[in-house]
Amino acid sequence: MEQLLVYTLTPLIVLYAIIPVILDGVERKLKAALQSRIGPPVTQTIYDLLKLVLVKEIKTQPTILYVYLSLTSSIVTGLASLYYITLYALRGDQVDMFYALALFAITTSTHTVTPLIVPNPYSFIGGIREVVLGVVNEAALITSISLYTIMAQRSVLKSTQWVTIIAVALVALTAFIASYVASSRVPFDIAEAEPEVASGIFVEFSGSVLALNIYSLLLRRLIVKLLVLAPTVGLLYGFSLTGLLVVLLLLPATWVTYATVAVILGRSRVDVAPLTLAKIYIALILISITVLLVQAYA
Amino acid sequence: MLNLEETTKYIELASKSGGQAKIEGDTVFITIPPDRLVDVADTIFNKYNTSFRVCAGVDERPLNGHFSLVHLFTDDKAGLYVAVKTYLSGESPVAPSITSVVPAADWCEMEARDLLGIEFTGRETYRLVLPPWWPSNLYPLRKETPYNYRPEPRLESEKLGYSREYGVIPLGPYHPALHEPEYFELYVEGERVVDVKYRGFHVHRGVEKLAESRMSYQQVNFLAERICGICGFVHSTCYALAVEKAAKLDVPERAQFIRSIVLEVERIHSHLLLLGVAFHLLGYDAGFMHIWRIRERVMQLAELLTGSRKTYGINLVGGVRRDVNEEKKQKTLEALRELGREFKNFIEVAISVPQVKKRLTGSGVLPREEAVKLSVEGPVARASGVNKDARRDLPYAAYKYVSFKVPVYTEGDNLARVLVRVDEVFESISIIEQLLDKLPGGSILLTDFEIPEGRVGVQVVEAPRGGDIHYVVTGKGAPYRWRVRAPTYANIPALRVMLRDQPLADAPITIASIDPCFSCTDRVVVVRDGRIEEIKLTQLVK
Repeated sequence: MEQLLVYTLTPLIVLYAIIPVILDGVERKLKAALQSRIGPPVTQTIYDLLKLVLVKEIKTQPTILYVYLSLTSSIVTGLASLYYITLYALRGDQVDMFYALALFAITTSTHTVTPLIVPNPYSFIGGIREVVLGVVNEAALITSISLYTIMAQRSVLKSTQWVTIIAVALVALTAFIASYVASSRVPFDIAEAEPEVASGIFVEFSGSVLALNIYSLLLRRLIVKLLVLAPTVGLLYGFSLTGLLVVLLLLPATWVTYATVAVILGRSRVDVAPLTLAKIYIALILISITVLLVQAYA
Repeated sequence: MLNLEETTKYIELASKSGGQAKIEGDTVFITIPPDRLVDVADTIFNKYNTSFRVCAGVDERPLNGHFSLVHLFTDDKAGLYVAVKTYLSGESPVAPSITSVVPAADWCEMEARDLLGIEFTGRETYRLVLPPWWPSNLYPLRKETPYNYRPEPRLESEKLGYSREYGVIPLGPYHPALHEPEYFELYVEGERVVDVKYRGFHVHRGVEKLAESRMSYQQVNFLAERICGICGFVHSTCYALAVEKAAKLDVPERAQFIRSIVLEVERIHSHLLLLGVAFHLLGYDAGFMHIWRIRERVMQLAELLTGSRKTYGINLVGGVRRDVNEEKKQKTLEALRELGREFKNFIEVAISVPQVKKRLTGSGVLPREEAVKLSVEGPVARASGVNKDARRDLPYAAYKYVSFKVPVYTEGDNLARVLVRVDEVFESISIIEQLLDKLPGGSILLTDFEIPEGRVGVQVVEAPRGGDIHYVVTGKGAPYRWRVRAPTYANIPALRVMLRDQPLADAPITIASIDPCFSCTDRVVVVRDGRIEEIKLTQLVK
């Protein structure tokens, strides 16, 4: 088993490092199609990142070293988180998922803190927006995925107790919403909000540091999808190598679905989105807990 | 036909004020002594409920030894232009400010001060148009100043606001939400805007001086069209109509129809452009892309009718240079049908997108009383319940031959301004269809005419952004004085009202909701390490 894990995980981590860049290219192509445009080639994101890495660095602010460190640690912990998600998908061990969540929390924190250490009003505003949204959403994401992981047992589907199925469905719904929000797409791209705050969290970045920032964001998009797909597939197919393959096959479909949702919506506001999300999350989690309590006492 | 009762009150007002009045066509010319200016302006603006359009300073020293100041109002209900003129000293021109009774006169007074050296009493003065380093005794629009005289620039930056009380967010001069360089300084408490400071006019292009100094009447049409890259045809039409009015030219009806058709094509183009930008600012990029795809049809239509996708170049004093034949007429009608269908289908979806609707509703409110006080123009005024539209109130070109609705909303918010434009797109399609249906025969250009010296023509043309006004005093072979005021000039001061107490996130869409048209700039203020630094031109060039 250990040998199998090594053989499976090593190429997968390499694959994980490349997948988000390719899928972002697919997303751009899809968006273009939905907007009646031709759009850039699927490989455009690769070209963009390469170009940014190769252009001359312009150090616009004194905290650049901290920014590099922060983004690099965000990417490293992100890849580590993916490692544990994969383990979870293979073995179904809930501890793996909790490790993955803990590492993802570090990834998100470092990514969120980065714009706050950049001395630029737009970067600061974007960073504060990210913090406000993150306080609501990351809490919901971690709570719902933890609950989902605990509930995602095959026995649930065999249960004749409809309340159990409803509870799991509500938790899954919460997790999917939170994962969508965490992907920083419209309407929740308020930290970037290019026409409002001059790209907010990205405003002071150029060259390789911008490339790192973009890559870190794309990696987070991959993680949040796998965080919800792994327990879902585990619930439906069980935890195995086949299950992992199903997760990987469902990944592009989920990415495309998220991208499609982003196309048909507009941007929300920092005083609206967190409040609305908090209400939705509290309602969904309370209902699912109530359902479980009702079942326990019944 | 002029309403005699309406014109009589202006004549009586002039007489009571120790001045005189005369009526020429649809314009009442009143001349009064300077000391009566504030009272007369107060009566015309606040008692007769007219719209203040602009004021224009004129250097008449070569003619009569005086400067003059002309305040231009329109009595939209009576269909009258009212020009209130006062003569000022030729040595040290001083005029009383009317801003205490007509707040909308603020900018034009300061522009007359900058460009002609007319001082104003009873108000705080500041430099508006000219850069801070411009010599204080050099007035570009005075006749003795050569059009090509360029003082040596001293590379200085002006210090803009600092606030210990509130956070300062610079919006511009270069900002993704502003498609031309412009500077808004937003004072914020958290993410709520508490006040706004505006600095524009970074580069004054001096088109008026150029036209008065170097160009012929016909050449100015093409210069006028280059005032704006979006509603340039409005400017050339407005100029041509003002000159034709001054010279009392009887322009062929077919030319007036073609002008109206092209003006409406330009309006559709401008509104679609703005709607696309608005959706982009709201993060709804699908809306932006689809609207601009639909807009492409209008560009093709413009090319079909004028030969150019933009900056059409068909206006001349006396008519137009391009005719519309039967084939173009049929193709235009077909294109309009398709455009209307596509636009209707898409706009219903776009306006219903939850975030778009929520963010437009109740944001950037301009109450009606403020809109009236500031004499705002076009969709900005109509969205705040001010029912005015020069096409109906002061009919020009061929608008008297068509029927159309003027959309008016009372909410005064960003949604109302968007909806006014949406409704106007459909009205413009209908207007073009009617005009093509009624297109008369005959020539399209008056060729044999003279423009006498010393005549005055005032014209308002309803641009997509509101009333555009041109004031022309005829000279020998060229305008003696040409004053242009684009509608954005009247609308920007309203932004202070609209932006206050709004979320920072809604500032760009609120600014965009007036569909602003800005000029260029060459100086910037940079905030670095929490302090405002001044960057000089030489440093930028390096």
